[in-house]
Amino acid sequence: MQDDEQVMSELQQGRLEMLAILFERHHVRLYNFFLRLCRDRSLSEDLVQEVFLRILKYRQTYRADSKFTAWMYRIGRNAHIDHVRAQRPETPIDEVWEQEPSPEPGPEHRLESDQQADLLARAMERLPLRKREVLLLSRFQELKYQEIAGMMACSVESVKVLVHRSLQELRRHYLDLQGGIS
Amino acid sequence: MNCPEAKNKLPDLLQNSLDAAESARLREHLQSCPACWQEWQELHETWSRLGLLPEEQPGPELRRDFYRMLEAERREAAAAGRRPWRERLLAWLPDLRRLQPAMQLAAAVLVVAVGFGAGLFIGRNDRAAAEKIERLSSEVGRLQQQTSLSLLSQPSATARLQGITLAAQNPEPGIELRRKLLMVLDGDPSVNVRLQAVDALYLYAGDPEVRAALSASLARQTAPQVQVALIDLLVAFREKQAASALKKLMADEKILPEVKQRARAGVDLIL
Repeated sequence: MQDDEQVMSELQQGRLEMLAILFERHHVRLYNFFLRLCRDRSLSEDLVQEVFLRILKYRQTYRADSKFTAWMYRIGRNAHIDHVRAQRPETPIDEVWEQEPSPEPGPEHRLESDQQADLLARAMERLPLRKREVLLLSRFQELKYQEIAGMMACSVESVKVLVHRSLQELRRHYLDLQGGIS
Repeated sequence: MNCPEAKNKLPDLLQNSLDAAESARLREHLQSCPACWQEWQELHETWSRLGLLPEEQPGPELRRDFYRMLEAERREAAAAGRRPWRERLLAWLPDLRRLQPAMQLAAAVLVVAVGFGAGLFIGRNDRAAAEKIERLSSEVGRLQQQTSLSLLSQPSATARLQGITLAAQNPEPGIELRRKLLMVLDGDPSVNVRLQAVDALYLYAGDPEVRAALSASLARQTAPQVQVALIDLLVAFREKQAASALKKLMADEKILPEVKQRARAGVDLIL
C-alpha cells in the first residue's frame, strides 16, 4: 500500500483522483477533530470538505519530506480559524486563539452521548481554542509534540507546557460540572 | 531527577515518547515523590478520560459532496489541459469574487475583451490567430500580476495568502512581484503568509538576486517554521553563499536546537 506521502506526490503530478485515497483514509478522523472542536455536525462536514478542496488547491506547496497528516491538520486549523474569524471579523488573530468559546449551544444542538462523555465535551468547550486544539491533536491525531510545534509555530517545550496546563484546566472544568449536576 | 525535570517530562510519558532509560528515571522519581505522583495521576486520568469522547460517522452527504467536487475539479483540469491560456484565465477567475468592486469591474471588462477577442480571431488565418491569442494570454498574465500585487497589500492575511497563491500560478512573474514577495517574506506580521511566500519564491530559483535576498532574510526571521522553510529552500537551490548565513544561525543562542540541526544538515548538503 502506498503511504500518504507517496499518494500526495502522485497528486502533485496531476493525478487528481488520488485525492479520493486520502479522503477515504482520513475524513472520519478529520471530521471528529472538527466535531470535538466545535460540536457542530454540519459545520464539521463543511470544514472537512473545505480541507480537501484546499489540499487540491495548494497541493504544490506540500513538501515531500514532511508528514502528510501534520500538513493536513495545519490546513484544518486554518480552515477552522478562518471560519471563527468570519464570525468575529473584528477580532485580531492572536486573541482568537486565546478566546473563551461562545456560550454553550442549547440542548437541541447537543450531541447525544452518555452523561460522562457529555460532561467531558462540555468541559472541553470551556477551554480556549488553542488548548482544545493541542489536546485533540496530541491525543487523537497521532501527532507528536514536535509536529504540533511546527504547526503552531512554537517550541516543543511550549507545546508540552500547553498540554500540561490544558489537562489541568480541563480537569478543573470537568470536576466543576460534575459538582454542578450531582 | 528533580521535580521540575519530572513535571517537564510528564507530557512525554502520556505520549509514550520517552526512551526506556528516561522513562525508568521518571518513574523512579514518581514513586518517591507524592506531589509529582499526584500530579501525574491527575494528568493521566484526564488524558485517559478524553478517550470517552465518542467517535462519530459523518453523514452520507459528505462523501457524495466530496466526489462531486473531485469530479468537477478533474473535468476542469482536463478541459484546461487542452487550452493552456484558458487554464490560466479560468484558474484566476474565482479570485475575482474577492476583489474590490472597482477592480472587479476592470477585471471583468478585460475578461470579456479577451473572450470577445479570442472569438473574433478564431476562424481567421491560424497563425495570426495563434499570435493574437498569445498576446491576450500575456495580457492575462500581466493583469494576474497586478491582482497579486493588490491582494498582497491588503490588511487581511487571508487576502495576502490569496495574492501569493495567485502569484505562484503566474508562469512569467515580473520583477515587481518578485520584490513584493521578498518584502512580504521579510516584513509580513503573519507567519502563515511568510511561509507561503517562501513557497512562492521557489519560482525564482534561477535568479541570483533572489537567492542572495533569501540568504539575507534568514537572519531576520524569528519564527522557527519560517527559518526551517527558508533553510530548505536555500538547500534546494544549492545556494553556496547561504552557508555563512546558516553558520551564523547555528552560532546564535536564541535559535531553537531543531532549527540549528536543520541548518547544520543544510550546510553539509550545500558544501
